[in-house]
Amino acid sequence: MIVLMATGNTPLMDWNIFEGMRTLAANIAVEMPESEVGSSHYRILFLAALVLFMFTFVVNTGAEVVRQRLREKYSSL
Amino acid sequence: MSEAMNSQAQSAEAESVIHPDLTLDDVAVQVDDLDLWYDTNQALKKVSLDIAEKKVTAFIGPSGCGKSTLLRCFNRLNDLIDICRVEGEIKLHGQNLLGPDVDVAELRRRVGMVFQKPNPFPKSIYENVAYGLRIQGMNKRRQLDETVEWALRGAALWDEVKDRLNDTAFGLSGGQQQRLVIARAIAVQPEVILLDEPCSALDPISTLKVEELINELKRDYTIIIVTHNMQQAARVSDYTAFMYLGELIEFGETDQVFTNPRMKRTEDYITGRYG
Amino acid sequence: MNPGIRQWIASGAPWVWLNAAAVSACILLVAGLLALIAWRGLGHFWPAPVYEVVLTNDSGVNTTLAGIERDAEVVPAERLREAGMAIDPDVDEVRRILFKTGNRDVTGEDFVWIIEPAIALKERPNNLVVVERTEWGAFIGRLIAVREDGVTLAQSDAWQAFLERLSRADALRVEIKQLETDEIGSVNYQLERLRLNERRMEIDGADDKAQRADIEAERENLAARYASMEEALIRLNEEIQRDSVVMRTADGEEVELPISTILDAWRPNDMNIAEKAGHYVHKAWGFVSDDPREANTEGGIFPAIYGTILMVLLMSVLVTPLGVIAAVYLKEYAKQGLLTRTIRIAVNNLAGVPSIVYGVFGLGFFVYTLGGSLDRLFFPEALPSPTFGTGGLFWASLTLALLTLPVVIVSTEEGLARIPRTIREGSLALGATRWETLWQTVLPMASPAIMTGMILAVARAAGEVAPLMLVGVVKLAPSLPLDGNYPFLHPERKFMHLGFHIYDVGFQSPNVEAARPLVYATALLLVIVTILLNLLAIRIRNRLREKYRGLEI
Repeated sequence: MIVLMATGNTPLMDWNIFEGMRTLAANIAVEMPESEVGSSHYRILFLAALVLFMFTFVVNTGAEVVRQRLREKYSSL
Repeated sequence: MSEAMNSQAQSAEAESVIHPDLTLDDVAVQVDDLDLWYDTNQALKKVSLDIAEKKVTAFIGPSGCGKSTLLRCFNRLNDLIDICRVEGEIKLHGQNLLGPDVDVAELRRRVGMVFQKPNPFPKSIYENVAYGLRIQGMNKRRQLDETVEWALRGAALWDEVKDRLNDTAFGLSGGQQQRLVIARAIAVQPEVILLDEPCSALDPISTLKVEELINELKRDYTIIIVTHNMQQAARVSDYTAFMYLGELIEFGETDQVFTNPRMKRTEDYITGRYG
Repeated sequence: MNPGIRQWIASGAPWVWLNAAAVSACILLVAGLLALIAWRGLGHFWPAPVYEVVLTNDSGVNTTLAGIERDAEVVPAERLREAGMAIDPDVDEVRRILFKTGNRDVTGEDFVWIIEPAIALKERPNNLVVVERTEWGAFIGRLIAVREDGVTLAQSDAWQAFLERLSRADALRVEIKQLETDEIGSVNYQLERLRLNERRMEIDGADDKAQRADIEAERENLAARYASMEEALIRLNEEIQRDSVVMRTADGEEVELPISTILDAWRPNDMNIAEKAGHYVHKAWGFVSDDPREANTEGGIFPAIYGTILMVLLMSVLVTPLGVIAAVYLKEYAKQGLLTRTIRIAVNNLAGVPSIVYGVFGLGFFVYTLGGSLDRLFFPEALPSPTFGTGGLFWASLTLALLTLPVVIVSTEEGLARIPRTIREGSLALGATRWETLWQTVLPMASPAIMTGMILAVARAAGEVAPLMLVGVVKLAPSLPLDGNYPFLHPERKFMHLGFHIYDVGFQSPNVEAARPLVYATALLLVIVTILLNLLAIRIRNRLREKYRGLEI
């Protein structure tokens, strides 16, 4: 939501960091209410949510594994 | 006398000795060939002995000999440890308490326990003592009041706390807390009371008070006490069992064990050659 | 390098300074943020002075404007020259002021930019009036006369007469609203329920003559009530249309405003500090208790406050038992092994998932799948209009409960872990079962940690907007989810939410300039509501902590 408001919510692709952009999450939030249930648009938005989820899942699981290992390593203390 | 004790007395090598002239008028608890493993590590090896009814039995021995482990078998607190496995029998007034269909909660009401460090609940003094009673379903105010008073008197604590029953239990001193815990234990009228080094966290005066209390309590309850303090064992108990490395080495009347030990290991321990 | 400096660096002091600098920066940022919101937000209700300015344009023609200063900025003169204005050549920068002139029905726009050099005269006349209306925004002008039934009254003090009639109209307005919203609304609601009952009978195939007769009788009853209410409504509307006022704009144009459209009127230049303070409090109270108007750019935000608090409460009721039971199972009953480790990893993962994914899940699973099934099974008579098959209060609370579940689980588990084993053993040794030990001793001792989890959950949920956009929040809700109509709580209704309101008003409203102060005021209110909820929970937790303090030793 913060990103939605602060980046201008414009779906541009530009390497310039001072230009507006739209994140995946903001895209889903804005377009979902307008899409028709069951249509391709709808399904693609769900796919985008899945991609977002997988991304965070991989990062989180990696972090958890590292944390468990460190914990075992330092548990004797 | 039980058969187990006879056969042990007859085993020639006598790795452990039950004093042959030991007669118990009434047996409260019988331990038969008790083995206990923590995973693959055997902590108790074929322990057999009898606990006398309404007398004080002490378990002594160096650290790690298994006396606390044995004690915790009597109220099956070892069940809480996943890797613990027990074989053998322990009979409380004839019923094997290690059986699979034993009501463990009821068993623990009949066999109370007092721990090394006083562990009152974060409630008021009254509620601490009434805890066990409420669990048993007693909820009439008058009945609770009477039983709480009776238990606190029995633990020689009533006079000290009677006007502050609703204060938190943490306001009491260490010795008072331990006596509160004892009151809590006797409130549910157990048959046996287990004491796991009850005085090791207390100052000498509180220790004395608790020892006096034990002397009185044995009129109504069977008491088993684990202690590393031999003088305490000598003062307080009627029978003593000496354990070493998970085995029962010697068991007999306290006077006999301390003045005339049969096993060399017992003698070494008592005279302080190792502790 | 100077040995003294080397020593200083080796002692670790630079890191301490860096630390302190970072902390100070954070505090300044937070304080600055709150101050900005507070300043802009709180300033919204203060009756700002109204100016009358006479402007001279390039050709020497004078125009008179009356308005409130909203904003001011300094622009380079070049820009204005490019736009075609004639600026003195040796002037580099020009200050221009945003004037709120109101009178959108007369002039076509609310706001006007005025450049300072063009101002010939600027005064604060005492008799300029600011009028708040139900449509077309504010009106700024002078009171000329009061009219009753079209006839101008000769009054010595027109202003007093105006205020009297305004309060009369206020009373009538309250009556009308009560009639419309509460009573007629209730009748409509009951009629709708009758229709649904009838439809259900049709679907079930049971054609009970007696029941149909009952329904018809009830319907007639309601129709009769409706007719009498309608009559009363017509009468009230006639009464309220009786008065009107004639106002003159700064330009000289005369406009007649019916008093039924006027909500409030005041003369800011004529008020002393006490009156201004009174006005301020009145307006601030109106903000939190009134409904919104004009596509959310004016009026109050009461439904949004109501919806936010109701949703947060419903979410807490859902998440706390679920989280506590899950944590208790994980910690106390489950065998610690690969499965519990995996579950813990999964819980920690859930805590990091972006909230929009929860919204999408809520939409796809709760709303369409579960809601659709519920509709087919229990509310077939309302179809094709969905009852639970569309977003609503319940689905929104459930989605947010799922979002904050990991926090509650982790927090409760930590609380349970901190309880010393001796307490558990002590309880078990008295003959208590594991469940009794939990309920009587362990859980009460873990209650501060459970409250902490709940505080964190509430804090997070109060601020999440993106998932709510998908599962039940709307721009303008026709009715509150908790009202006087049986069954009183309507979990299928859509609701309004403060966070979403801010987004909607600030970014999607037709008149952003007018709405900007409202955005700040709403943001301030959201911060205050969140802080209050947190403080309440923290107070409860501290009391619980005091009770179980002795154990931390």
